[in-house]
Amino acid sequence: MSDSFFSLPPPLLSAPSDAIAFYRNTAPITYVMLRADIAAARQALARLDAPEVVLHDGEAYVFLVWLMACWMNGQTALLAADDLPATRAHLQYPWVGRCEGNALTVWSNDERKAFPGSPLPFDCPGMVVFTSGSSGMPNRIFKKPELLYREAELLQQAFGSAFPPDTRFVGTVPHQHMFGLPYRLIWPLWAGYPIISEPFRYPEELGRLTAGAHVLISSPPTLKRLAQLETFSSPATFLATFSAGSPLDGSVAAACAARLSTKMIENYGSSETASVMQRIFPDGAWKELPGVTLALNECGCLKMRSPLLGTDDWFQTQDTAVCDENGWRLTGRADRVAKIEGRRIALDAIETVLLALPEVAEARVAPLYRERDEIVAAVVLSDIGCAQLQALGKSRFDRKMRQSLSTTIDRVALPRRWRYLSTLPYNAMGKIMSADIVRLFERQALPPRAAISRSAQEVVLTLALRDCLYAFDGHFPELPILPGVIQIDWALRLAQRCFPIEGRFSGLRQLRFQRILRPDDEVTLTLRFSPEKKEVRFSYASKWGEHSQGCAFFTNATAASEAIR
Amino acid sequence: MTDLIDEIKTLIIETLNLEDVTVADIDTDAPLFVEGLGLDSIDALELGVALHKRYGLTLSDEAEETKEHFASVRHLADFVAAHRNR
Repeated sequence: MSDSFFSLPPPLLSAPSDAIAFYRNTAPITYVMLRADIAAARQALARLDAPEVVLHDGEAYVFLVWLMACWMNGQTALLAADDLPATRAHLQYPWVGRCEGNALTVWSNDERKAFPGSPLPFDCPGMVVFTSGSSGMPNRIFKKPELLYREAELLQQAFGSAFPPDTRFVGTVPHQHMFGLPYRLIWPLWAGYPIISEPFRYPEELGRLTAGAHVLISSPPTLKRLAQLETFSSPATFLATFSAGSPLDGSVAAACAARLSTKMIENYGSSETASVMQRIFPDGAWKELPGVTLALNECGCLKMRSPLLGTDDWFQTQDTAVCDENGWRLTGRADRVAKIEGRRIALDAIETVLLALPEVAEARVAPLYRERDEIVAAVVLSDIGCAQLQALGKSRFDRKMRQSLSTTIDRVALPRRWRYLSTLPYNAMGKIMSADIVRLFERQALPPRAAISRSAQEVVLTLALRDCLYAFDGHFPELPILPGVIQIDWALRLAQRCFPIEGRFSGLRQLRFQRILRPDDEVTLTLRFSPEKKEVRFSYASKWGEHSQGCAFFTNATAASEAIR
Repeated sequence: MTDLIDEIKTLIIETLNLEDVTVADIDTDAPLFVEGLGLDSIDALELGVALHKRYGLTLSDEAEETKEHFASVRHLADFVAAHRNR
């Protein structure tokens, strides 16, 4: 290992003063400005007189200035993933960055001065990141700057030859995580590529990049939506797009590759391990970074040795994998940690918080992977909880439960669906299987549908019965027919999604079932709302004619008498 | 405008597949994110795509401005009414 690893990214010391380090709202920031800002930030940080500080700033440029200043001062930077009250309470150090209540929000422009090119203090611990451990408590991971620089060097060796020096790095992922930080900031800084400071949260925003070569740092949640946009154009050229956080679907990768004319590269890694291996779509095999050795433990979980671990020991993951003639294939996780839209979520942590609520007697949460990844919760309520559910109704009670969790749990991990049960679904072994929890939520799904026409009082929908086979389950084994109660349930629930119906459902009339509905029927559902009469007429029809129809009426009722649906 | 407000509420419920939430449940002036409906950053992405598809809208460059549009259903309806092209 050469001494340079303990120094600064080379361009900070050697790039010409007028070379461009960053773009901030398309305005270039040169190295002379970056160096001066780091010098000023060092002064401000030194006055805090704290060996450890928490960094949290939404802008990549400002964040990087603080980070470099911390390291040069020998201060450890703790990277907070969010600024939830629970996170602030947990991290009792001075908070730095533009956020209300922080100990230090800005550096002084009066202290911008020449940059001392001193090497980093040898014993600088560098940086601490937090990640969901399987115990539910966040794990603290120390990272020395040298490991981040080494990762940058390996990435540059593996991919950099395709990127000319003026290639701009742009990201849709946060810069304070262990994918965004190394890929969006440290790699381009180390290799001297200009960095676009602001985050591009929405995929269509990429259309406002200027012409020129770019490398895009993104993740499946954004890429999935980029693939769905009807129109997209950007003057920018995307030489490569890196994705990490969760598995990238092949069809999404193909759609994005075509849309951006880019090379799609998926990275596998974690906060603990940094980058491990990459593959290039459409059909590239996973290729380990130089120096990485992979193996499986007796449970089929991947373990590795890597120059980016900072130790020669094996690191054991909870990711399950297989290795065949096509190379490595990742198959899932072995522990109670779920991946929700790319974020690692400890299920035990959510359950611990739920169980501490007075409303809850028992609780189990599970990930549900459908159109979007989400957490769902099955809960046995206490007497207090039952009374509140009665009083508020399910919708408002659901929302109250989410609110109660929102000061401690990452918003993306808040349960989006709730079932209140008299007992949890224990199996014969006395265990609760995740699949049994998930089944509670699949049963009540509405059918996939599309609106043909809609106005304030009438909506016409086509329903895809074929994709809703659970509704035909057991009714009947030889001859699947859509049950009448399900037809009524769908009509009522869809009507409440389409019209501002006040009051509660109080009855049905003129109900007629004329023709059976089979899974292959192409059926349309027409809903007509009459606000004056407080009623909704529904009819299911297909090319065979009308299948069923009816009229549901509603009455105003006080919340107290509202039945539990 | 009332029609557009109800239409946007339906769009939100349908796009995000919110369970047990009806049009009547959504307060026109309550915040959509954090408090109120309590939507998250992934919901914002999903809504962005839906607004793009239905109304031809492109969410603004300025994060602050986007935040304002998402402040409530009423804000969103104003934004849609002013900028829609389908």
